Amino acid sequence: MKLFSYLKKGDFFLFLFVLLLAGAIFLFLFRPDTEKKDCVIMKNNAIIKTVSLSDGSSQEFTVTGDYTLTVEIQGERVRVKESDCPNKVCVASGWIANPGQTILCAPNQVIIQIISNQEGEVDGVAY
Amino acid sequence: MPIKQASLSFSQKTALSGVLTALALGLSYLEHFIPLDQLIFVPGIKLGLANLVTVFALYYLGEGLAFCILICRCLMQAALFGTPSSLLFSISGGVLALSGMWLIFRGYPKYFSLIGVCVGGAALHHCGQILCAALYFRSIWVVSYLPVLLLLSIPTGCLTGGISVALFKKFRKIFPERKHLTERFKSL
Repeated sequence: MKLFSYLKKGDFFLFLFVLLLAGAIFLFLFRPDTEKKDCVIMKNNAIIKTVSLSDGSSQEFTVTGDYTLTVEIQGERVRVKESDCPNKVCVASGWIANPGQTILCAPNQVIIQIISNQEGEVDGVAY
Repeated sequence: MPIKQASLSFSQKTALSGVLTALALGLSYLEHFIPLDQLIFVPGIKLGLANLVTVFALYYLGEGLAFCILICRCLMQAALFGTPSSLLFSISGGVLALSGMWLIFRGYPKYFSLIGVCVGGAALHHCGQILCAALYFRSIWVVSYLPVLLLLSIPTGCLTGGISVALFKKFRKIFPERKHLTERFKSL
């Protein structure tokens, strides 16, 4: 064909580059396995708040009840910053960030758990 | 060997630039009548016929006047049948495309044919347009149009490139006394 004899070496590289770029952008935007993590706060076995951990925002809020907890969310991790409960196990648990990890506050009957739309790296966690 | 610039007088260049601007404006209006976006279902897809004029200006009048013609065409196009946002998109796409074509043409004319230059220009036009739209709408999801547009830029670029090749050949025949103009891309 006349067209192909007219084209030069660089043209084919350019075509290939454009095709690869199109493919790369497509794969980057539509990669199916985007992990979504949520922080779920439960009190008396009822979900009272769900916060997305995927958008990287930071916030702080309090959970009231018999005792008052201050929950801090910083990017992808969560902790109980302050609590006026007697034993302060929840504060001592520190930061949690991986799906499946939980913070418990038994006196206040609060469970803070990180859940994911995917299966986690570990099969289970035993305490 | 430095490429010889076309030896047209200043007034000849000015007149030719004006004619080319009008031609580009006409061609971009003509594109409205070709319902390509209803055929392929990609909003904003067009043949890029105005790019013919840009390439012609780049080769015959040099990059400076080509930029002038491009900017004038975009401004008038927006004033006649566009909006401020469409001006933004067409200028960003056009400037990026022309810069890329100029780089290819100036830097590596040995390795690229006219068709390659046009495909590169078409692809860069879409990149510039989409980047500008992504900034304008503040949304990364505008970029999801880009793969389709890039794929389509190969056939549309080949089309405008092919037309340019034919055009340049005719120009050589019509104006045999201006053969020195065509020396610079004879190897194309």
